[in-house]
Amino acid sequence: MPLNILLPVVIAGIAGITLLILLLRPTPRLIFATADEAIEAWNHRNPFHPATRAMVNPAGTHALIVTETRPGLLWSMGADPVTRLLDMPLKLTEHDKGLVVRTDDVTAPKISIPLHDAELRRNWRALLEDIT
Amino acid sequence: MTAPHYPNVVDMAVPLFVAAILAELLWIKLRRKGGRYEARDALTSLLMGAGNVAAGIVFGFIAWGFFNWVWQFRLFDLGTAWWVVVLCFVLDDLRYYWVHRFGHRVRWVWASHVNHHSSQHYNLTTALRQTWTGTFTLMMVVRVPLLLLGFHPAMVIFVGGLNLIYQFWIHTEAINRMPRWFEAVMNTPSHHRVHHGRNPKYLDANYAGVFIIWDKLFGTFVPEDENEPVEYGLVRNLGTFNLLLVAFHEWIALFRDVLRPGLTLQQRLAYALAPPGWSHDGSRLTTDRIKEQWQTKGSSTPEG
Repeated sequence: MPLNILLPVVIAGIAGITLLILLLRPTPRLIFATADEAIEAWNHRNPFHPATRAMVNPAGTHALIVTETRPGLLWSMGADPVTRLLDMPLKLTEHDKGLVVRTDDVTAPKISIPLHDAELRRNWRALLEDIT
Repeated sequence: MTAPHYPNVVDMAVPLFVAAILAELLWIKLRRKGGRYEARDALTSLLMGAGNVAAGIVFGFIAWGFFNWVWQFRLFDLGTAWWVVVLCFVLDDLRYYWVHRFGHRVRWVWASHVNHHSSQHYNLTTALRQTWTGTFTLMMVVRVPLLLLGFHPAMVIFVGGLNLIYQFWIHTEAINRMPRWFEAVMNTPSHHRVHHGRNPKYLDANYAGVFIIWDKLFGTFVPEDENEPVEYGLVRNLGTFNLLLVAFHEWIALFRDVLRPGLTLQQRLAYALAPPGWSHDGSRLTTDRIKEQWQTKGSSTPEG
């Protein structure tokens, strides 16, 4: 197929499919409504580091996990959960809307946690600095 | 003999891919079952697919030049009869099985193939989440026997394209099971769902492209278990939609490991060529160890 036909088909196809998914929203965003939900999601993916406590942000998108060995972070990537044990050096930065955690993990180098409340933001920062 | 000409079937199939994705999306929305779609995930898959086509245009000459160089040493010239094309398709599928198996068991090849497994979704866009770095795995050498046997390079590329197109439709949850005879011989959505599973039971299984018989023959076949729903994605799932990291993360990790200070040459080679998850101090888990833990402790796949 000549490039002058293939290229418009590819661009229109990608744009059209993405737009339709955004309009139809066939799969809702994953939200952790309670600490128990976060713990359940964490434990399934970290069977050797079960959570003893979880603190979920108000948006329900991120949870700070406490285990008997190491702390961890659980967050939603669109419709799916991702977890990381925090056994690596972290760099924390605060901004108006939340906290940014930077890691040297190339598969999750930047984790943006929405925390609109300044006091809550400070608490999370203190906890992260304390436990890591 | 003049060089045979075959169409670029993958490019020709692009409109079909788009139409089928739209149909699957609408089907899922209307039926409220049969799969999941998330915008950023799907966009990542589609852009990886577009990048794969672009990489083919940029780097395709390397494989093409290599195949034509090998062709001069052919033992036979099998011509272009229809039955030769069919035979080439079947043998190329056997080639695909082994390349795919290396793709999961040799980290150097996995660094390229990992892209395809990096979505936690399983829909038709996942089929298009393809590598940008396939040329650099050098797996083109696995096609050498076909060329030496006398299958023309153009034919080998052509049947490879047909193989890829066949595999598109099996990336769906909208189809449960095909007729029994079909499931017995062909790769199907059910068999390939298993291949994309991160459940310990499903790791390193069902490498087939078109014919599932290769897995049955070489002992890697695992049927889908209705009591064990498939969890899609990687052992350690990606925490980013950054396209460059999706494409290159395992290459970066591999080179970081190979270049670590204080390792022996053997350890450096093992970081590149041993199965994914191998580490010199045993601090990481290979799929074999994950399976062992599942069998002895009943544990799920650890991500952290």
